[in-house]
Amino acid sequence: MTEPSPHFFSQLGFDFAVLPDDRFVGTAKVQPTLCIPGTVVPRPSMLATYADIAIGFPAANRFGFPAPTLDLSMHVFRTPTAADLSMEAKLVKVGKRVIVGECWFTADGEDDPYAVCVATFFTTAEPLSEEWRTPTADNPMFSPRQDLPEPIADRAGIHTHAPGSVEVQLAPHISNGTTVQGGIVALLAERACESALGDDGRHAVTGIDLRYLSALRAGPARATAEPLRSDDQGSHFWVEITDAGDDDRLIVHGLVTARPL
Amino acid sequence: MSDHPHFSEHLDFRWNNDDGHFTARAEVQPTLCAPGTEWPRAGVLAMYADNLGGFMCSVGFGTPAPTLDLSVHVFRRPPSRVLHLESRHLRKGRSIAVAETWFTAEGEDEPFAMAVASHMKMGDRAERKFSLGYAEVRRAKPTAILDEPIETRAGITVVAPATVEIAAAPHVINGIGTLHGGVLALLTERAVESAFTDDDPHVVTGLDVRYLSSPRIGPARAVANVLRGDPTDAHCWVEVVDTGDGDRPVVHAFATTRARGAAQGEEAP
Repeated sequence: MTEPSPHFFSQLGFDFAVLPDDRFVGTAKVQPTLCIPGTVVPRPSMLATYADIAIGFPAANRFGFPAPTLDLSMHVFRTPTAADLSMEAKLVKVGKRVIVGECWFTADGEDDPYAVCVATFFTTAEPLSEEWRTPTADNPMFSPRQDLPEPIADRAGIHTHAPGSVEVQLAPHISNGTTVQGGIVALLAERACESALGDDGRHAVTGIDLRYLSALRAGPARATAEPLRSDDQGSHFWVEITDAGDDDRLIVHGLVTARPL
Repeated sequence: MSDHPHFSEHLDFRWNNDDGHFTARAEVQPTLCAPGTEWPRAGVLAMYADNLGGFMCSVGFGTPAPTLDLSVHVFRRPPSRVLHLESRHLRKGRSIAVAETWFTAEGEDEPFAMAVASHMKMGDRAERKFSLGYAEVRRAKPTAILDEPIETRAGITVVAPATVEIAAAPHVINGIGTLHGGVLALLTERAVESAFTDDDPHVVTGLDVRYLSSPRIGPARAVANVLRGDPTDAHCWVEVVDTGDGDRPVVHAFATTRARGAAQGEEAP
């Protein structure tokens, strides 16, 4: 019998701490298989994964309720010189129903950040169990750290359905316990755009603006990227992700930008 | 007290609600475009989207629906200043709704810009019930000619490079008495523009605005920081604070620009 894939969180090379003032500081040893192929640039979707955790954990702490992601914008505005990175997140709005946080990423050996993520989380009506504690870096979710010998998109099970259209099935190693983890959803959107660009290896996604509308129930999740503009400077894509097994019910909408490498 | 017409009266915002299908038509005056260009300001498109999508969400909730966040993406310059808008719900939750708005130029089929915004339901007290009558009042007046740039009329002043301010005035507030979300988007856009020199002007083509709180005292001050810039485009981070309230954070925004030369040289398909 095949060994089940470890949860992809354990392959993030993540070390972090949630500070008492709701700040989150962390570092990551980013494996090449989490990077844009042929570069030391972490995939924006993987940065989104770190940020989803870095903002989501303090948000859930504050609410005392699970805090699903409502939207997430990831902006990579400069090319880092190293894959390994540090991050710092803080909550910038704490309301009764929504929390907004931002997370800044800095490459090892650099002083200035090269990417920022802003995300909104909202409360659910289900209080966290009394046993719930903010996971720490040595939590089984993240530890022991696992090697990832194949590209994260392959490990996640993402496959190309047609040019500009990719799919993934919900599986335990990419789940958040309810549906596909938000970072893998971002990866699905990213892969759809790469596919639309012909997987030519000459373009990279630099911006992802996602709205999480509903959960995947039947699956697979299918992402379709439609180019809105494309020229020498880059491209804009509109991405729709649907639950293909549930009458193509819309689950995520996104605007993705790509630039030449 | 300001005797200017409300800024929305300059937008030529002819909206329509056909049984929940919200559309609009607008002719954008030159004073609503980015300086020296025919690009409608991203902040102005934010005003349209915030109004149309906001009306739609407010009708759905039955209460005013303040904006949580708003992203505007302009892919290319429209060949006409007559615009058609269409909003639809992406999400209709109990307390949060998400609206997308697409912008298409007259004579074209493909959109040149789009916006997505999240809106939150307010408490359901009777005095907060939403009525489209509020919007109807604004629509009932003929479009007012705006003979000066919208940023000037709004009262936005440059206090230093990359730093601009605005005070709340009757002609720039929203239905709940605070600076309109579209005006705050315009403020962030102006902060970004003022971060570039006259020799290297940029047009804002993308805004990702997060509304953190309402400015209560004012003036609201926006400071832009250029995160990356090259001869063709740039990325900027903007923070808006309420200077009269201990610099309390009001808005955080990420902006994308194109150098005006590159933007003007772009041929519409």
